[in-house]
Amino acid sequence: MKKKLFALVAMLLTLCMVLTACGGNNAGSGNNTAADNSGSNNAGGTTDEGGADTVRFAVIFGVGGLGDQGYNDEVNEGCQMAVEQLGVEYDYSEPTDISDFETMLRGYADDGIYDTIMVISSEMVDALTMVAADYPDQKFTCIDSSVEGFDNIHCLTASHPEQHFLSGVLAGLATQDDRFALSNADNTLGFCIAMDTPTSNAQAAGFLAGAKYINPDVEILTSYIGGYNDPSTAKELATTMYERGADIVSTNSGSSALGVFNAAEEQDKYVIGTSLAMVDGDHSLCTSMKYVQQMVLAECQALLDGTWGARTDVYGIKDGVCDYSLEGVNTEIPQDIIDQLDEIKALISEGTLVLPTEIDAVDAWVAENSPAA
Amino acid sequence: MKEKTMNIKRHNAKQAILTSVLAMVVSLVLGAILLAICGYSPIESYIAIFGSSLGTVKGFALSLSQATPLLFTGMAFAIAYRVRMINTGAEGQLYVGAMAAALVGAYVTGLPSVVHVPLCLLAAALAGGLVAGLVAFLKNRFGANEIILTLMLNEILILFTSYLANGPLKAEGSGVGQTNRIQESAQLFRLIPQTQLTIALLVGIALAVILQLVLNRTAFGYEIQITGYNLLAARTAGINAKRTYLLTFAISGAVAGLGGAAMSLGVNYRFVEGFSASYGFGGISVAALAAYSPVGVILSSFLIGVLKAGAITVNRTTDIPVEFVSVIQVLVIIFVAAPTLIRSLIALPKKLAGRGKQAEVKKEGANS
Repeated sequence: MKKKLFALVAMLLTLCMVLTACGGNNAGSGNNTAADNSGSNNAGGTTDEGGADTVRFAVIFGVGGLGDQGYNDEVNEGCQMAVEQLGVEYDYSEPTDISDFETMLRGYADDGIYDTIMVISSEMVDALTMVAADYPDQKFTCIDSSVEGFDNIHCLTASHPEQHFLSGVLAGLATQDDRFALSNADNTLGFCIAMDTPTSNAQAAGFLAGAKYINPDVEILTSYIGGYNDPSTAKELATTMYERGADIVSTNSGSSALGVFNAAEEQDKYVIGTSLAMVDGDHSLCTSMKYVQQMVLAECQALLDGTWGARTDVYGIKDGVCDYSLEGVNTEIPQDIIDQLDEIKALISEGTLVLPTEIDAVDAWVAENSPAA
Repeated sequence: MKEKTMNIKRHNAKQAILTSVLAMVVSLVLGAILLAICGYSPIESYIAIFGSSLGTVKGFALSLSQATPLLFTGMAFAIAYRVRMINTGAEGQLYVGAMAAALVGAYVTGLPSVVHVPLCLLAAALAGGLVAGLVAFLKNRFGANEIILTLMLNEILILFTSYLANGPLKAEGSGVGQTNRIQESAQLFRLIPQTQLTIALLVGIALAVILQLVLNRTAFGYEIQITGYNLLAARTAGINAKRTYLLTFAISGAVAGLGGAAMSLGVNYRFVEGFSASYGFGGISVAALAAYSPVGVILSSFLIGVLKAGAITVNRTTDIPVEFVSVIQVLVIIFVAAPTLIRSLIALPKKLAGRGKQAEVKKEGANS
């Protein structure tokens, strides 16, 4: 018995030694496999032509991981677009819990072969600031959140009002238009604001400004849900809005939005959300989009052009990051409305229209800018 | 007589170690076969998994830091199991412990680190211990089943701490459910800079040794063991079983709470909603792998830590699906949970040898 045990332990120890020894020799092989990996991700097959000056970056996805048909998949789509269009390479990690963020960031930073390391949500900001301070020569990219005080972090965020402005315009038109089957006679809309924070308020301001820009007399009901994860409160608030005459209610509230969609279905009215995965064909009027793909693409372009810098860049309608989407919507939007939306889009893109970022500033802005007022 | 029991004990321990080691080897082999079937090179994969997690300083530190929370939750399950109580509530106790430590760490100011850190740890242990003590009290008083109670309490505690982190205690301006950052004086010392390996590991190891000594060398430990082996005998011997249940379960909860503190004070520097990757339930398999010995948990949690660290490296550097590492992990646990399977594997060579001998005997018989 004893002998057997000894033999087993000895065997295991040798196994460990062999394995670790191999690990030591193959310090470079990790990188090779990584290259193979991005090669397999690289549908365009442009890996080889790039040579030494190809941009290569690493992405750390959210805990939800790939296949969530939501944010993580959208970011990955952006990465693949960058591979196809710009010939860059990328590696990625899917953390299983939040303590992995720091470990993975350090891992990539230690590799030292990446032009930038990308984090994609505010959950990772803590880990990012901790690691960025330790690796001053490594570039980091922070998508969809803003970090200040570092000279090695480039932040890319979407313009909050611009994400919701065009949906607001569409809603402002649809509420008074008989061609929309679920519209009622009241000139009333609703917006369930996620939280009383600058970000959330700026998004709401975009919607309000949009609706009043085209329809200055519209009444817009607003309330705060108080969180991104509270569908039941959201449903109550939205139901009240519908009962008070709103025929379209929009929201910017993450998972809470499910409650608004639920209310819309029960009340048989229109709803506008921010996620394509939530679209309800019969009740969605449109979706207020933030195309994170374009931000990933823009970051790769900045690295290739050498315009990368430690600053916060805001992307909006002009860059194709903010827009309204009709994907999955069954209601047919008349062509004249789409033309009108395109005109307004052009005004914003060329910088003629600059949107307000606070709810209190909306009325003054409308009085000054709206052609209808 | 004494010698005999010692021998039996030793034999049992040996058997347990042998089972765990064999389970490991068999699952690695099976994992290799699976990898090969799916078209990945098993050798390369194992090099990727174990090469960095055992072969580099940072990788080794990663293995240890991944093992740390499991060390605590594994110990929590193991110690409760000694009185034959099943603590499925380590997850909830971990969350309240993490919250308590994060709050004391953030809102108590002006203390030197030497005082602040132990204070946070104490808060975490108290929080976890109270929650578990409540369960044991209900079991003693009303005969409530501790498995159901702890499982249900898990939901309540996790949601309650989530509420706190999203509501009244939410950090200003944060988009995620998290509390304020803890003071620098409450942060656990990192044993190796730029890794998540903190003194929490040493606290855990010390605790394991202490628990083992308490179990083996003290009257209270003896009471725990006897109550666990045979309740009637314990009662006859005049042991207050209810008191033993209460204390043991409270200790179990306190240990799980400390695991939460290790995460709040050493890794995340605050309480973050949903921070645990099921460490509480992971502790169950870690304890089983260690045959419910607190000191054994040090080894078994290290083993799982190595696999988890390997998973992170594999995730970052290769295109092998991370799930493979989970598969190996689960295989180990299945084999440990089914000791008969392994024992029959151990007996297999003997059986074969036996048959071979029989056959030889027959041959000889035929020849003569």
